[in-house]
Amino acid sequence: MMAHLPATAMYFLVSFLPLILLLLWSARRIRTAAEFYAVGHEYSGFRNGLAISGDYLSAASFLGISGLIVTSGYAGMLYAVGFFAGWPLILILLADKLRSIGRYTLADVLNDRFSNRSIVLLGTFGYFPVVVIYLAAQFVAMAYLLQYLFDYSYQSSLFVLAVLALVTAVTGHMIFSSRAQMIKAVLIFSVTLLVTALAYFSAEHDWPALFTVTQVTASQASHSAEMSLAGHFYLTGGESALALLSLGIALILGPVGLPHIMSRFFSVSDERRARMSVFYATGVIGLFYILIIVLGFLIIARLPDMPPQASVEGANLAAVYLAALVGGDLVAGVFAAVLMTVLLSVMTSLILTGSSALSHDWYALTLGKARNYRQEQRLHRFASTVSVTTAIVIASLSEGQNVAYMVGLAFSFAASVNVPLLLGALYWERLTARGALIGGWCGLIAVVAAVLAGPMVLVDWFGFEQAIFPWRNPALFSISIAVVAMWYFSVTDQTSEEESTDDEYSD
Amino acid sequence: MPTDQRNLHLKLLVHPGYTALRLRIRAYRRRMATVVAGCYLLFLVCFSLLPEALLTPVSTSNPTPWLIPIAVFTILLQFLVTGIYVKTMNTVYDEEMQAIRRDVGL
Repeated sequence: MMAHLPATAMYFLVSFLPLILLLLWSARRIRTAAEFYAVGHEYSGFRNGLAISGDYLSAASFLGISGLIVTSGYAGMLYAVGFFAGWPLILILLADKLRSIGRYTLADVLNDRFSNRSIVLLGTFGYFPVVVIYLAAQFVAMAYLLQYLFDYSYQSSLFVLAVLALVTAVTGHMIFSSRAQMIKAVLIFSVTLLVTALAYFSAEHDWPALFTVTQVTASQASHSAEMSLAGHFYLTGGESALALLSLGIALILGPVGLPHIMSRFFSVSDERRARMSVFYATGVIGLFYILIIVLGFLIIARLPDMPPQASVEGANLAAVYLAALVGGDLVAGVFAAVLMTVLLSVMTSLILTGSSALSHDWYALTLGKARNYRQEQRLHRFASTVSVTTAIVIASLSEGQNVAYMVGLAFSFAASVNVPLLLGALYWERLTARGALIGGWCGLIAVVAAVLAGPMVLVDWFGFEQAIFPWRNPALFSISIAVVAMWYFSVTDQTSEEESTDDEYSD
Repeated sequence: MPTDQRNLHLKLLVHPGYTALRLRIRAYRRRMATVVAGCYLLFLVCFSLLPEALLTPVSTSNPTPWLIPIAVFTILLQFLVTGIYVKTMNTVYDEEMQAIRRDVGL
């Protein structure tokens, strides 16, 4: 494998530069939220749907899920089904509703419903860990790609990425457009299809035998002993049923609370096109996750002997090893270039979306100051720098973590704070400002405490033998606390009679 | 909002058809959300609590475990439900809403 690296790296560079230039050419520099929402107004439902897919199809979850199927067998499939399952819910519960009330972000909804700055501030705080952990997952995936291509150490790769991300944070406006996202969706879908087809047709496969228990068990047995961090759970034994339920709940609810997903529903001119956009996006995303499942089992069939370094990589590069096997240096180089382009693109949009949550929502709504572009930009840069620095520290500590697991963890934060606040504000007439505020904070504190006392931090980061909180994904625990607190502090709120409830929120 | 527009909007809000339609849309959304969430939760509960059953081969001639077709079916079913929702909203409810809006002059 090592002998092929220079050629793969060369093909990577030759493909990566034009891809980045293509994305930069296709994108527009966007300075304001108004410009952002205006970008896609001329697009059809299909084109906007492709753009939405580009927002969501993350190379990190692709690399992570295919690796998890190799090391954790069928359990890895839960990520593929769960990452997809949130989509129809977003369409039915959010897209129409938010369009009909004319509010585009969580902060807008909370501000409109409660006119309470503390709640808007809570919504902003809720975004921060989601963005930071999601960003850290991109860094982990990119660091492993750089390590594979150029033989850098993991920590040196992270250093290079940190410099790049900080430059983006300090200088970048949102290089972001529907056209760039469409190109991203087409690129990642095409290379995934290519590698899957090459892997399937380059050898004889008995289709039903591909998914057999015998094959998967053999793969788990060969990898789980050495891949201690990647093999988080197994379908038969290992993680408890409740822990799997908790993970599954985070996976379906998480996308509903992601800050960078919802906004594109509003970048087409009418509701019909918005719905059609989500319909097309659901089709593309569903097909993509089915492909990942097939790819994961093809990796097991074609690569029974994974390279030795895979044991400390959280199996994140399993798909890249497969690409090298079935397509040689050229396909591996192009595949890595597309993945890196998509990861970088997600990284920049996360940095800028996350920081705009702080600069726009907090500054403009919470502080109630008149909009001042320069001051907002300064706060924007500060927030970007803090997000990047925190994400790099987390990525540095998370060497060996599977990136799909990290994305799932980001989803558990979104599901514990943003989702109860958003759905409560939109659908529960009796939710009061007091209930929303206390419930939201309870959810946030519960999820932070459970993660800090959980296996990732205590066992993986700090080497303790056992964690205080047993589940790797605490969503079920923290969502329950948030919802119960919201309910209790709303129904016992004596001031609730005085609060007005807009007719639009009664659906 | 200009005064004329505001008056028309108020007229829309008190239109009996409008309230009834909003209630029907609300009920429809709830039904579809329940179907989508219920179908995933059923998969999740089986996945967490009945792993051995899901690993049973589809048939004696086909060793693929039931989990594979069930997972793919769950994804396809959700896509189908999304399609039905979009079609119904875009053709049935939107048309009715437009008719009511025309009725009040909006």
